[in-house]
Amino acid sequence: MSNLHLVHGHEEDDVTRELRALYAAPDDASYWSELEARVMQRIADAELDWRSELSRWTRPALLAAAALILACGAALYRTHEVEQAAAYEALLAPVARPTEAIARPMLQDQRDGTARYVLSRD
Amino acid sequence: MTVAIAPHTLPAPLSVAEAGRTERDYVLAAQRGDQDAFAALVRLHERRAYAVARAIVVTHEDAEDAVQEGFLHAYRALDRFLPDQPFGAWLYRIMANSALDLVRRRKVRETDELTETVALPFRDPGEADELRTRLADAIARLTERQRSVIVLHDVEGFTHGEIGQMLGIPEGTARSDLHHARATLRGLLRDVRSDL
Repeated sequence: MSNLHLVHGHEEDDVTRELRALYAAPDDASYWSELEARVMQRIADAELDWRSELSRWTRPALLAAAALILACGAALYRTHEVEQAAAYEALLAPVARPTEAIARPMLQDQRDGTARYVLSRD
Repeated sequence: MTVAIAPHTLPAPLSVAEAGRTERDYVLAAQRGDQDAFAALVRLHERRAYAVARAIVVTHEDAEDAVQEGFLHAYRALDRFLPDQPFGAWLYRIMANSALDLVRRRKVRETDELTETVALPFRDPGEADELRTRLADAIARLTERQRSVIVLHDVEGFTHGEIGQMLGIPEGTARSDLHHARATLRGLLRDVRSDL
C-alpha cells in the first residue's frame, strides 16, 4: 500500500485542501470504537441469524428424515412378507416336472443312437 | 516528493496485548475463528476502509453501512484469503465492492434524489465557505467513477494501480478519470479560486 502523498508532490492547493475537508473522516476516537463495536455486532447477528435459520430447519428436517426412514422400513418389511408368503405357497403347491427332466431322456436316446452307429461302423 | 499521512487515516493505537502481534498473526488467528483477532483487524483497518467507502458512496451514513457490510463479507470470505498476501489490499477491494453494490442499490431506489445529495459534507455544515459549497456542487457534476477516483487519489493517496484494482478498471482508465475529474473541478471552480 502506498503512503499518502500530496497531489503531484506539490504543495496542497485550495481545492485539494477543501476536498480533504469535505471527505474527512471523523477524528473522534470514540467514533471508531463504536464503529468497531457495530461491525462486530453485525457479524455476531449474522452468525446468529445463520444458526437460528439452521436450527429452524433442523427440526422439520429431522422429522422428515425420521418419517422417510419409517416409510422405507415399512416398505422393506412389506416386501419381505410378500416374498415369504410366495415362498411358502410355492412350497405347498404341486411341483411341475422341469422341462429339462422331460427333454433329457430324448437327448440321451439320441446320444445313445449316435454312439451305437459310430461303434457299428468299426 | 512530500510525504504526509492524513491524521484521520492513522490506524487506531494498539493495546499492550496487541502490540507484539503482527497483522498476519491476527489474520491467522481470525481464520481459526478467533473473533478478538478479527476485531483487532477491524480496529487496524476501519479508518482506511471508511475512506475507501466514503470515496465511492454519497453520504457518511452510506459509507458506514458499506464498511459494516464489507467487514461482514471479509469475515465470511476469510478462509479463502491467503495469509501471505497483503491483507489491506484484499480488504479494501471488498470494501470498494461493497460500496459499489450499495451505490447500485441506491440508484435503483432513488435515482432522482441522488444528484441533490451528492457529496454533501456529513457534518459541520455551518463552517462551509464558498469554495467548499462550490466544490460540493462541482463534485456532484462529476461521474460517479471520476468522483471515486479523485477522492481515492487526491484525498486518500492510493495509486492509480490500487484504484484500478479496487474499482475493477484498468490503471490507464483510473489515470484518465483522474485527469478529467481534475480538469472539470478546476474549470468549475476557476472563478471562485481567483477571488480567494
